[in-house]
Amino acid sequence: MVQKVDYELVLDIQLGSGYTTCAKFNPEGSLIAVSFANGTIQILDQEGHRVKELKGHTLGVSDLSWSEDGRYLASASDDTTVKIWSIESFKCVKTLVGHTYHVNCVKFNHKGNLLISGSSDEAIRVWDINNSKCLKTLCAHSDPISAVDLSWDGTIIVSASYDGLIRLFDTQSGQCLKTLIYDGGDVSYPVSYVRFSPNGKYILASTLDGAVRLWDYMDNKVVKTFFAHKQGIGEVSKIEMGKYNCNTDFFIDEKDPSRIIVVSGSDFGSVFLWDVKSRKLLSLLQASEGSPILHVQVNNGKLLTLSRVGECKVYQL
Amino acid sequence: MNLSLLDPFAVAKEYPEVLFSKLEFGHSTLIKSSYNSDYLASGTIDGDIVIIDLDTHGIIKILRNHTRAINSLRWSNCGRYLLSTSRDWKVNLWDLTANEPIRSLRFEGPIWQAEFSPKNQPFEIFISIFEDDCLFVNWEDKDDIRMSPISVEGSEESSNHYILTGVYHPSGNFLFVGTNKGLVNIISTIDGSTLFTEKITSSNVKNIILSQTGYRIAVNFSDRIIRQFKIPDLVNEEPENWVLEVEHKYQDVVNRLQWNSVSFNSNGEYLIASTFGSSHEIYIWETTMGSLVKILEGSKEELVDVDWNFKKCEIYAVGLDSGKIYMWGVIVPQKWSALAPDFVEIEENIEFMEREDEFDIIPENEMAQKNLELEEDIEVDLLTKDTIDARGFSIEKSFVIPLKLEHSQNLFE
Repeated sequence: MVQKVDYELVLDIQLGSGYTTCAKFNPEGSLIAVSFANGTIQILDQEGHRVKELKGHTLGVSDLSWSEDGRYLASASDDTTVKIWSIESFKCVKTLVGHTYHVNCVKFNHKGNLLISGSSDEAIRVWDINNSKCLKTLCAHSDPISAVDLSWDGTIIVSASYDGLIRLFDTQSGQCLKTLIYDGGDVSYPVSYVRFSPNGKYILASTLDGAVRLWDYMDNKVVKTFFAHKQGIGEVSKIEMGKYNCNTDFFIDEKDPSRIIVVSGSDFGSVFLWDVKSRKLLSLLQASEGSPILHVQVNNGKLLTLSRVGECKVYQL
Repeated sequence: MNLSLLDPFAVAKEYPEVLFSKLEFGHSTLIKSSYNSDYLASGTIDGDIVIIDLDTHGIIKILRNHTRAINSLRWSNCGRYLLSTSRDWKVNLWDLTANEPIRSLRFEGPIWQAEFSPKNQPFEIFISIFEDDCLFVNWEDKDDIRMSPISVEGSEESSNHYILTGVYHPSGNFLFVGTNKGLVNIISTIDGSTLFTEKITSSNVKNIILSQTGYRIAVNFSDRIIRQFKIPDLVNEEPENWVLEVEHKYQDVVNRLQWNSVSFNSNGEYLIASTFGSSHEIYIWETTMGSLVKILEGSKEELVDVDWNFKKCEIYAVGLDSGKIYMWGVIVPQKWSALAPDFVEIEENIEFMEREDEFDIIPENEMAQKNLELEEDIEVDLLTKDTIDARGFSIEKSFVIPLKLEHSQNLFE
């Protein structure tokens, strides 16, 4: 018997005009950072009130990452830079210059000394934050990088690219350790998002054919596949997602830690919650009236969703 | 976690072979990597302690309080505290979340060395002092620092006989000390009494090191011989039954080299030593047979202090003239097949044998469906983390020195 996931909407905010790109809780869960396509970043408190606006990027911001201690926020922008903001002074403390095209994704390591960024210039860069220096440039993809993530101990970087490949890199040496490709016949779909499982042994990857796949990378194989169905639970015809990079997250039920749920946004405003073990769709959450859900994040039992047109919602799961 | 994906032959290497980097942050005299191998502390000739992040090889902190060259540095096991002594006759305890020493002691004369006790870190320490009794110090209470002096026992010639260096047994109950008359003693840390004493030779003890496992001890004497001993069972045997049994003597019989500094690897299976004078090498011996396995070359100057970074399998050494830090490591070759998942690297030609179903044409949908059905039964564990890495070291998150990005620019200038 598959149990549904209950949820309750606890916060519903409409963030001004213009397109939003990314929203993230800080690790503590007390602040939400939201980035906009006009290049600004807003810091909101738990009630959704604006604490501060961070201005500095000249073009749209695509991705945000909090450091583990919550003192810093990194932002990736189309102006080819990555900026690091202090959340104590709300000032930009570092600007990392080196990418030659739009930066699409950023990630702090757990120690807060390295930052990984992926760009449309097809390169991944590893930065020494303290000295604003690029330590390594990993050029192994042949299309824009859509997402990067780090294993929990920070030693492996995983990257997703529109060239259809998922690659793993050694953080220290910058060597490519492994390449994963889903062989779906003639075409390999662009990979739009990738993340490590909490223990770093599996990779959850979204591709633009509308599937989310869980990979066992040691074994080079897909162990679970989750499909997005347009009509919701029970409907079999799968849909093409194809346009937006909707991200995913894991939700671990505190009452039942054996139950792990994969949460994913979709192109048409719904959020999917699948049970990992059975691959069944447990709930379908309508977080927007048809605008793509660009970001989902689970933090301390709360689910944060952000649509492209600025609908930012928080659900208690 | 990356190790499980690397070339197993490279990961299995026991000791580094290639000089891969040189760092120069002031004139370093002494180096020590933290227990978790994340950071390297370097003591400089003008009394600064530079903390280097080994992920970035950049400076993240400079501790300033000493006014003369640093002559000993120790990390606490948790990685948060640092104990330093300097030629300004001071012993400082640093908390790496702050920039000022949290405890400091000034003596009337030069200090050789300070060590953390394995128990009650960072507040119980041992200090050896130039031409004076060495001390056990408990400075838990800032206003009530307790010191108990230990003098040398077990020798007729008691005048001008001093303890030069010491090292704690991992149990924390015993301290191995070496004297200027060639004695190796074992002292109880509970009451300061000398439990065991043996005269090995008549020359100075330069360093004593203990393997982390507590099985072996190596003593570097100024008679140009490093002697390796097996440690008796200190816990179960009575002190009168203890014997220090010499396992091996390491010396260069041809050149009669003096050894500057010595270090064990994590399990005590290898011993390294830097050499005095015109030879610019590091010798690596294997300790069960006592054979020389490797000489690390590459520096153009005499090397003084050596340090073995266990987790990264790297050896660091400091150059005497330039104060540079030399770094030897294991170079892992890029596996080219990692870039193209359809290719396999082979050692030699393999004759092609067609698998029964290799070129069968299966409709795409059928294939996908079949794969999906297979997935049904796969159990996945997304939460349980590995606790040890491929080299056998525990992997856990340890203390991280907080960065101050606001004013980190030009830290060294």
